Amino acid sequence: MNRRIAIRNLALVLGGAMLFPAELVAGVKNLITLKNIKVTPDQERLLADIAETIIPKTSTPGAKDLTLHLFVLTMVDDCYNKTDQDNFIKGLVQFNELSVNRNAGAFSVWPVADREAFLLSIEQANTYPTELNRFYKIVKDKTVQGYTQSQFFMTKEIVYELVPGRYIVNVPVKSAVKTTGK
Amino acid sequence: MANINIDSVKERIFDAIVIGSGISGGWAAKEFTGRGLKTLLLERGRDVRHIMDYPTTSKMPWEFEHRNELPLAIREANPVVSRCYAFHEETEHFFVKDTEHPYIQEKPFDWIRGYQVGGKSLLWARQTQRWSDFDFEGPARDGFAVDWPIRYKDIAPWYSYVEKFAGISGNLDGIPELPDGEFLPAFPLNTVEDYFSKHVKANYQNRHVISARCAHLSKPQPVHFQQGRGQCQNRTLCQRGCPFGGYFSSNSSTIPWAQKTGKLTLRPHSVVESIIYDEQKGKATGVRVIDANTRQAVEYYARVIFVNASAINTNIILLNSKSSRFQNGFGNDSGTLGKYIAFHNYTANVGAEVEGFKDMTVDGRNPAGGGYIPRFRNVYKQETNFLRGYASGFSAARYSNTDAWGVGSDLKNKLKKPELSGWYVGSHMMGESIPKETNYVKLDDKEKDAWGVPLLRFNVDYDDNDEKMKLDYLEQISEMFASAGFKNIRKHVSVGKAPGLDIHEMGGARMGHDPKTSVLNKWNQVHSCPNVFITDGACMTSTGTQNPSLTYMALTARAANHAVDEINKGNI
Repeated sequence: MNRRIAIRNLALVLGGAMLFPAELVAGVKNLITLKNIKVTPDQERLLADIAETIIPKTSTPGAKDLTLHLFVLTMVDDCYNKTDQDNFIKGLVQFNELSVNRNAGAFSVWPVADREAFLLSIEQANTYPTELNRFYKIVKDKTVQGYTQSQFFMTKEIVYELVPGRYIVNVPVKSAVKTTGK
Repeated sequence: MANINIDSVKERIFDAIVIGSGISGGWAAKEFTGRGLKTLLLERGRDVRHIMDYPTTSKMPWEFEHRNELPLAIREANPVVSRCYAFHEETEHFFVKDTEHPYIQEKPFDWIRGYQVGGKSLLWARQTQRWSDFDFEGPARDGFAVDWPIRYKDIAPWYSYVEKFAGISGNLDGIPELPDGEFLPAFPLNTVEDYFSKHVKANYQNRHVISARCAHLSKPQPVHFQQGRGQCQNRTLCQRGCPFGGYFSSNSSTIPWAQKTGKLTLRPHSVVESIIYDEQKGKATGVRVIDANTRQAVEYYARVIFVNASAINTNIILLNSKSSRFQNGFGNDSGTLGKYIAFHNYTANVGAEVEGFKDMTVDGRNPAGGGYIPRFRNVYKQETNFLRGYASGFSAARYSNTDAWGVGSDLKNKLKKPELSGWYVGSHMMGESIPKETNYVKLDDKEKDAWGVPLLRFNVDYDDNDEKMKLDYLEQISEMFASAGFKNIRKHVSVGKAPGLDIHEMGGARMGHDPKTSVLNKWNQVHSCPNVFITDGACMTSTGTQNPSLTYMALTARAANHAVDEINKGNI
């Protein structure tokens, strides 16, 4: 590792420490204040682990780096109706109960393959409770939305243009500039 | 008027008062100040200064807490405005909330309002087409409403006048029912829109698919640079307010222009309660304003008054301006005030898929929105079982399809490689509705708003003609799509959609030849009080199929210049 990268990584570690004080990382307190729904710090952390399983950290940022679970909670809290909010909380409890029976240890420490397999089993046609299915659908949709509409994604993966400054027709597909619509 | 300070009266006297700062009021202010009149521009809402007061204009998608979706609590508390296509996190501050300004719906009417300097000119869809004599002659030919007291030749020079200043992009299409104007270059049709245009031209008589004409500076001229406006940058985020002044609004154009003359006084937070009529002088002398914040009443006086409060609000002001001369509302000798309200029928659309053309796409965004199909039904002669007809929007697009199934790094990889879909086409109808006496607004006898103005009651609905026209639209457009080889054609009807979301409500103080059957004459003057003019949507005798704003602008510029001429002649 050359020195410049080492320094950058050190900065990241320090920055991370400042952003996430130990008590928050350990799930003692909630990272977010909600108006309509209530989640415990443990539930919030479980949600972060589910979101991280959907969008994991690879060579690029994952759900935890982008705090996508907080976006999920914000959307559920503000934009969903009472029925969905109730299902979301019930489904979250059901998810936790099922995960305890399914594998040893907490969901967060399962091997990646096991975590992914559990989520995929819900995503496919299944016999899980209605609430769990609704919960998962919301978490999946909002995690993906939060990711594809994150600053990282819209500046590094598919560049969003605020000011295109052009409208050209009859552009061959191969030469088209790859941008997101609005 | 206990609270009037006599010493301040002099400061409250103007040459002209304009009520409302939206798309037509802005024009009145520009014309009056341009001809040297000391002008008071009253606006019931807050001030919105160009660029400075567009808080969301440069926000990135991720900077909206809910990614532009409005919280459920806001949507549930405000069901009417929440049905408007443009009401989002990015624009919430430019719309009137149901809860702030209630009204009574005897029949459902989605009344969309923008109470601020600039009004709805900040939010409009910017489509601008001229009327032709096929529209002005409609009521006389087909026997509804009353004959328009003007024809195309009366307004044509004023269309040119406002088009040059506002900046309208379009092609010279040479279509008699949709006259050409003073155009900046059009935004082009894309591959599939152009294909459909050519197909229709080759296979149908008198049907046309053209580039939508819109109030965007595709190639700004010196007069636009003088306004401080620049080229449209294809953001298509117009409803947030444009930092480039790329589209026309009162805020970017007419109001700052009027302000530069030094003749304009802009007074926001001014709810006009009524027009003051002087029995002895036999004319209006001013307006009574309730300050929106202090709720204090104050009067302003002028030689000429323009009412540009927006169609329905203009009706409210007139209905509420009662005197012993006008016991049933201002200028209402005919008894037609508040009646013959009409709108555009937007209740149907048609979509389809297109095979082929997969090697072509577009780059950038089209602020014009695509194509436009002028009215082709009943133009030259009556040919259907309903009166009048419909214009249609038409556009084609390809979308980014993302396979979002699954989880993990596979999903991450898929999300950054969306696939371009095939082409889809869509059309929506914009139908002329027939003004009828039974479609009316009136004031409630008891309930008043926070400023002491009676609440409005809506009694406006669709009729059998709208229903038949909708079915014809679905049939004709589907047939044209099928003829062009489009597949999987889907007709869609908006069931239960109340009138109003077209945001093209018109009438209530219509123009006409005869004072016994209309409120306004051919110059938009109140028949019975010639120093009061109404040039917003309230003046419309019939609705045509065109997006109405351009016509309001032209009528306003025409009427304002006539008013100044009349003042100079000593007639008013």
